[in-house]
Amino acid sequence: MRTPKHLKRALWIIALLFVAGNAVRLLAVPESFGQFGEFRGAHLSEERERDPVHRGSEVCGECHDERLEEKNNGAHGPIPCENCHFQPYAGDETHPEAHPEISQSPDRSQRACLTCHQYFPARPQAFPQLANFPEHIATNGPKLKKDDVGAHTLCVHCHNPHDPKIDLGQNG
Amino acid sequence: MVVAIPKPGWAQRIHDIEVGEEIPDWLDHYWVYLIDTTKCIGCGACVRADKRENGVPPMFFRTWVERYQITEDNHVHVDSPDGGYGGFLPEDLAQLLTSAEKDPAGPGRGGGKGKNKVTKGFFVPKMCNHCRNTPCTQVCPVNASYQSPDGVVLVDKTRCIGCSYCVQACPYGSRYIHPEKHTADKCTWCYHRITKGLMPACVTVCPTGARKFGDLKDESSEIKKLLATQRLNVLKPELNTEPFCFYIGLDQSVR
Repeated sequence: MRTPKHLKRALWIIALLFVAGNAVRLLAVPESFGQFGEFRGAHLSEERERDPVHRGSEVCGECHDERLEEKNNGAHGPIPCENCHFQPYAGDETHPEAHPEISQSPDRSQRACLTCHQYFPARPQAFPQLANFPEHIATNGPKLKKDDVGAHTLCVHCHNPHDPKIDLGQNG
Repeated sequence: MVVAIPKPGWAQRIHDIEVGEEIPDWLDHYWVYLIDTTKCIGCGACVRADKRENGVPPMFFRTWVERYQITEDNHVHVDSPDGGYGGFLPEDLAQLLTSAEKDPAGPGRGGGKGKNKVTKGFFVPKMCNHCRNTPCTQVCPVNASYQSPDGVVLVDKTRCIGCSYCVQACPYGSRYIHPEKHTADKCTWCYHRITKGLMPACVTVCPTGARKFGDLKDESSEIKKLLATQRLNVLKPELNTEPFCFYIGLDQSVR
């Protein structure tokens, strides 16, 4: 039986579309697409290849073990070194030979301390906060029995950032 | 001047450290995030850490912190200066330090009177909610954005064409188009860290433990216990996006 000409032509067109469609699909769809779902499967491992930037306090402790111990035993124990020693704002370039990626010297200004300890109505009330710096100096300064307390303008003049709590019961 | 044999550099050394010797298989995990707004002090350490860890360009955010202040006249004041990147300090420090003279109660403490008095305030950290029913991945025309089998919504930057449909679809505003790469970018829960057994950068730096992260498939994990015992809420539950970023102590004024 002879196949009608119009059917033959339609079959050819269908075959051609099938081949062309698959060729485009082969070229355009990435290899691992659909491996785990409707996405490029290789991206999962690509995404996790990157090295972490924050390495935690233990890396700092490899050299600065005394500092780390002091911090861990103090009130700032849960805070990783990177919180203060990584600078949020540029302009700090000390300690370049050991680890150029981080700026070692932290911001010693009040701004650095008050980022956490400035009083705000929105802050949890149990958290230690400072509403009034002159008042704080006036009430607590004399207890330290230092002569020049009145001249102090930075938190770090009295408080050690690694172990900030001052035990007035023993010293004062 | 001390002459000594130099120790290997920090950058050189970190490549030698094997973080979590064996890389865990993502099929063994299901990640979940928990934010305790009652503990957040709004220091912005998470925002700074996120920017460093992921190289987020200025004025774009993968995570940010909002401050809510409700005054006596029932007005809700929300602000987030620079996403909380520099914390929430008053601009003029000198003014802050001398403001005691002007306002005997101290700045913010009953500051102003009557209408401006803050009766309730809190900080709300925000980020991608890694929804189960994601509006953002559904609209992606090239399947560049997807949900990984361990529950993290990711963007394949080699496939993304930067059409920004997903940026519009996200009801939480968690996505942005990277100004240089011109592709969509968003929080990945630090996928490069969590698959190495570390916590996301924002969780590691949080000084008060307001941000928690963990594995639902780990029966002994802290997050599993917290999720089972705490009173939870999610952002915009009415949208049925099923977020997997849960909140403790979320006020109804938070949007």
